[in-house]
Amino acid sequence: MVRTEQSKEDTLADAVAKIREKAGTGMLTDEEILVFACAEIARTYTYEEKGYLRR
Amino acid sequence: MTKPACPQKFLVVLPSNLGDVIMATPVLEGLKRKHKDSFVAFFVEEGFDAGLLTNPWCDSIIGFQRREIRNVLNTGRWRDGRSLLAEITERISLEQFDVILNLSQPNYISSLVPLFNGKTVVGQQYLREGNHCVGDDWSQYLYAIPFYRMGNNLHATDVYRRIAGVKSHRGGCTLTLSAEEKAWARGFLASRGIDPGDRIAVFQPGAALPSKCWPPEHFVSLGKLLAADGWNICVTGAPVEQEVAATIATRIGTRAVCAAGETSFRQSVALLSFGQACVTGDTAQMHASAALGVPTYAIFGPTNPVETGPYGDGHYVFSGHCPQMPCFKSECTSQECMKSIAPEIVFGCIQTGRGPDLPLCNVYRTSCKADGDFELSPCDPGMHRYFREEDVCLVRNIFDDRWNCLPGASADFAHSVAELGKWLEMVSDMCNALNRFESLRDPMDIRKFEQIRRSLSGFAGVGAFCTALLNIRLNSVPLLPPEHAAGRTLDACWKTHKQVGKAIS
Repeated sequence: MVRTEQSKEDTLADAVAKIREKAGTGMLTDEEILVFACAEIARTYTYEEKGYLRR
Repeated sequence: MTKPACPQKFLVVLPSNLGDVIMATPVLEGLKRKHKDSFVAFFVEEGFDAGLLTNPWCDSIIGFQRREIRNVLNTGRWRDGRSLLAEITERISLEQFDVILNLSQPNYISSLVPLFNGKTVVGQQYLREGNHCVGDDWSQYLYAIPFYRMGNNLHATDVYRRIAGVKSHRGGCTLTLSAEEKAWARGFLASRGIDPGDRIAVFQPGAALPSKCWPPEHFVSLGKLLAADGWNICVTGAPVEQEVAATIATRIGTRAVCAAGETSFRQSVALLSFGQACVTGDTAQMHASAALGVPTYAIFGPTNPVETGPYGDGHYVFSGHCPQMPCFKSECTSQECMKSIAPEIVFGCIQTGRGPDLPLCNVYRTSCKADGDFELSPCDPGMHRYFREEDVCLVRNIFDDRWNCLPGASADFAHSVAELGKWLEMVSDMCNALNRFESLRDPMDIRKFEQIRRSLSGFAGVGAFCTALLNIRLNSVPLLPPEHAAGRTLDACWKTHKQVGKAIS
């Protein structure tokens, strides 16, 4: 399947990569910061979720 | 000139974990006492709000559904997750908070903070320029602690209060229960054959990390000693801790009941409120017990009781013998430090209300000093200290103008001062390189600056703390506009140079 430009940008990783190119060269918008926050939250886990309590 | 309006609306940001939320409650009280008629809200992850419900100092709890949003983000429907997150940030933005007080350290919270649109932000925030920034001195202190823990003697609560700019008071942490919650606990105990007026010891054998758990057989031995002395024992815990809690209760005998897995956190705290003793590791239950004023016997292994011990007067902390402690490991194959804390030592403290004469482990008593700060005092002068007094003096002199406790010149102190003298010379060279760059724009000067900056990582002790502090400040310099970066970097270097210089002068 040939991926269109639109579908490329429709993953969180692609959206973040695009913003990373801008970070440090231009001021980020609320929307761009929100997408960054999404990427950070997608990676979060708590101790409990890591299974430390299941001994 | 008109006097600036007093901030009236505060948002404290600390989504997790439960223990941290309880440790931050004195900030709420401090804000309400300092700013009369102010509105104080708390941004917290759902589940961890259990430490705040019915808190008289908290006007509003703003729940954060992190797990739900995280799960949606990871299902391929990330735009739906983005919308859920946007709903929360817009809701907070509409509240128009005067001050956002970010006490949490994870980067994902820092990224959310600018979207809250507070007039002032204290603590870490992500800058629109594209980097994280820790702007205030006491938040920088908090971030620098892990780089040299022996230079810190402040409890997390006392650091939080300094970040918030609220005075110390002797009230401790706040955790309140409703009449219904107390009635439920009374009924639960009665249904298990325990008169709520009897002597009850609450055991919390589980902890977030396996390395923080006291061995179950030690809980059993302690329980048997207490039961023989007429105590009832209630073993609490989360559903995943039910098996081990039930085994402990069964092995202790008829005077022990297991409540683990049958209660919410609030219900286990309600049970705890009827206790005359709580034996626990470094857990949320420990902070809850201290907040309720229940005599707390906290078993510490990999973590540091100076930073996160049971806050308040008259609690006991036990720690074992291990050369690496506090190691902060989540798992440990030997658990030597925990195993070496004998149940008989803990029993002696519960029974007599004082430290043992000849303990085989470290025993400390907690108190709040006259200035309101938490203090962990070893029961014997020969016991392990979690900080070096002289290094604490040097570090505190960097941050606090009123802190002036330079001790007599011991060899160690003289060595630390000499090391900081070398550190200052290097930072001075960094400043000179930046100054030259500002006038000549020669990239060689930036390379020299970076080279010296890397060399600072060779410092140990207080020097390592100062290097961490400087790096936190340098990393916080806004990246844009680039022509201002060198000047701002220079400011950060000079500020740190001046403060460290003052500390050893």
